[in-house]
Amino acid sequence: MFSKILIANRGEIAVRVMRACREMGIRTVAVYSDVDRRSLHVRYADEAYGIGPAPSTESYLRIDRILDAAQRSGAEAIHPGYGFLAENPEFARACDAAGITFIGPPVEAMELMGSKTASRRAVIQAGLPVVPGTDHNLESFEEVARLAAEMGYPVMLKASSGGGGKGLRLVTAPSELESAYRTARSEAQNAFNDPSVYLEKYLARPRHVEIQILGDRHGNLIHLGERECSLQRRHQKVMEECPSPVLDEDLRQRMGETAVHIGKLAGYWNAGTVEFLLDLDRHFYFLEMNTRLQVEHPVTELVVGIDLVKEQFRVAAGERLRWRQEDVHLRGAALECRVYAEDPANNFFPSPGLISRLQVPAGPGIRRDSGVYEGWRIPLEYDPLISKVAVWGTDRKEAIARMSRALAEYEIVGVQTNVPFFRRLLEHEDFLAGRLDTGFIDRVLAAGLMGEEGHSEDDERVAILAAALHAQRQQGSPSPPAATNNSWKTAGRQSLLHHWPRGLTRTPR
Amino acid sequence: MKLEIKLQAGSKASKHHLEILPRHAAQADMKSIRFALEGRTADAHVEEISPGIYSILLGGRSYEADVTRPVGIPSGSQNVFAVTVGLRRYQVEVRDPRRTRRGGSEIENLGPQEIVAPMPGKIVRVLVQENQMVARDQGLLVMEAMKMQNELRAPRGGRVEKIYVGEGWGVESGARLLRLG
Repeated sequence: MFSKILIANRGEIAVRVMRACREMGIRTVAVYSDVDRRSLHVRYADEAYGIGPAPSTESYLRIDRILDAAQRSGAEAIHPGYGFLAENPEFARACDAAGITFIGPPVEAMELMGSKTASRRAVIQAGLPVVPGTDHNLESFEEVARLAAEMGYPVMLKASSGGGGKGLRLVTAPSELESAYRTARSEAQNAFNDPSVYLEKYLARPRHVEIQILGDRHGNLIHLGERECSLQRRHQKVMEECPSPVLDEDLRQRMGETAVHIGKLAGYWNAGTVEFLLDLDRHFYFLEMNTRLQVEHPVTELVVGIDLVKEQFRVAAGERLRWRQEDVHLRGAALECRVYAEDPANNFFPSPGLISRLQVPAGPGIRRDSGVYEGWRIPLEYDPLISKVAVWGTDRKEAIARMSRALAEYEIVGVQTNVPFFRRLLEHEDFLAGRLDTGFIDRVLAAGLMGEEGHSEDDERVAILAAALHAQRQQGSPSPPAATNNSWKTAGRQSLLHHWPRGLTRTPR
Repeated sequence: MKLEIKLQAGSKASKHHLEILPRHAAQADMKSIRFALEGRTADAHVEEISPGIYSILLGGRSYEADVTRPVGIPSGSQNVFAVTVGLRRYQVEVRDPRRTRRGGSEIENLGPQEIVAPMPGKIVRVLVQENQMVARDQGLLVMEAMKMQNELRAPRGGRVEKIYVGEGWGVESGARLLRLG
């Protein structure tokens, strides 16, 4: 086993990987950009090295600087987390060349699965189901228009090197195709430096169900059940659960075996995820494979009882898997919410800033993977993920009740978060019934989930009273409640006056 | 003291009259407050937990209210607040008729407003044209910030008088984007 690992990432995932290291007695090396010197992952690590300015292209994506930090620290292996360099074959190759173990799959598997069109071709050739669509990059608008017409609308335009919802466009009618084609290509060019796109048939109300796989370098490959990730906003997962409310043992086994089959096509080892769409008739179709640890891996860990990061370390060090397929059992149910610094009442606009107060949920069955602390300022330069709150319950119903309880305990002051949005979602009748699909959130938002329904006169009275008292305190009004001679309060009020969160507008002079 | 309140919840607005009544002997401490809302008298106990966070006991029930400055209101309007109670978010304007010389609501009497960038980013799309009339909450432009594309919406209805930026422009925090008349 390794004695020192460098984590080429930041935020919650860097901390999560370091936690596995600590438990295994492995020393940890953090890297950080100029704006991350005060970040939790730097404070948590045994060693830390600066790797450049805030933009990730000048720091977290700089292979040379990360390898330099690895060599200076004497780290024997690098864990890439997710995002940044996690699915970059060039990085894996550079690690090899430097004599440092890349904690991930073989380069060939990354290359095959990294190309959406090449992986589709491989899966089709193996006779496995894929979402109907093209298996090559489309070079001209004329070709796109012809194929879309053949396939029938609606269709999805997707970036061949895509991920995270970028370069993805739903097209419902021929008239929308040309502008969608242009924006998908330009987004793909900006995000992945590759403008190529392909077409897929859009399935009606599909679920996103993915299978976690785990393999070693000795040809053993198993699956660890599924995650239901149908709750997405703008094609980004926001809440995940395990098991899926609709899978039975038979379907789980068939999807699991298909995922293992696909992993074997790629000669895969390490933890990986095979994503499927599941249609209303419970047919499943291969969507893509992610050759890394997923953001939502905690729900699998809670239900299966296997620490995926530690297994990644063991596999990378050449050890054999410690489980056979028949040893893997799903127990209970888990949910995860991705808590972001964004304002659900203002169209989910990012809300970076100082976390002036933080009180975190605790008690039975709660896991919180966080990259923040009270007094830390969320930087503007990166994804505004604050933490992932995951819960375990004996069944889905208990997990939901527990998540509601956990989020009600979670107090994050100084920035707006999507916690109120999740609390509403957890009460939604269709969510409670497990009736989910990838368009669910967009529909409930359009119907006004954050709006005015469910009015409460009591809440209104409290809001009016609180605002009136607050206004009085600001103006130093002598009316009741009279200001006490409490210097802490005075200081607090003054700091409030000087640190108004910046609004969107101002009046011209 | 008597206050005029304008409450907005989603698209629904309502007016209220609040009177905070003078302290009397029966009130145990400074944090006990007797008030009349629409003439109905009630007692509350209020603790300010931290600046802007109030724990309020009202009719035996425990509430927490978080009072902040709303996004989309000019810094000149000192009396407009965003208040979150449980899962509900309100915009509350508090007006003291004795203090306010000019009549009417601050939200309504704004005059031209400059929409500024709330953070550094890049303008991806401009959704409106100069001289176009827009409704409250209508999308004005799309800005890429913090790795995501975000739509900036109109804080109120009005006419787009001037657009200062174009698609593809990088903007600093506080940069003028457009003027709403």
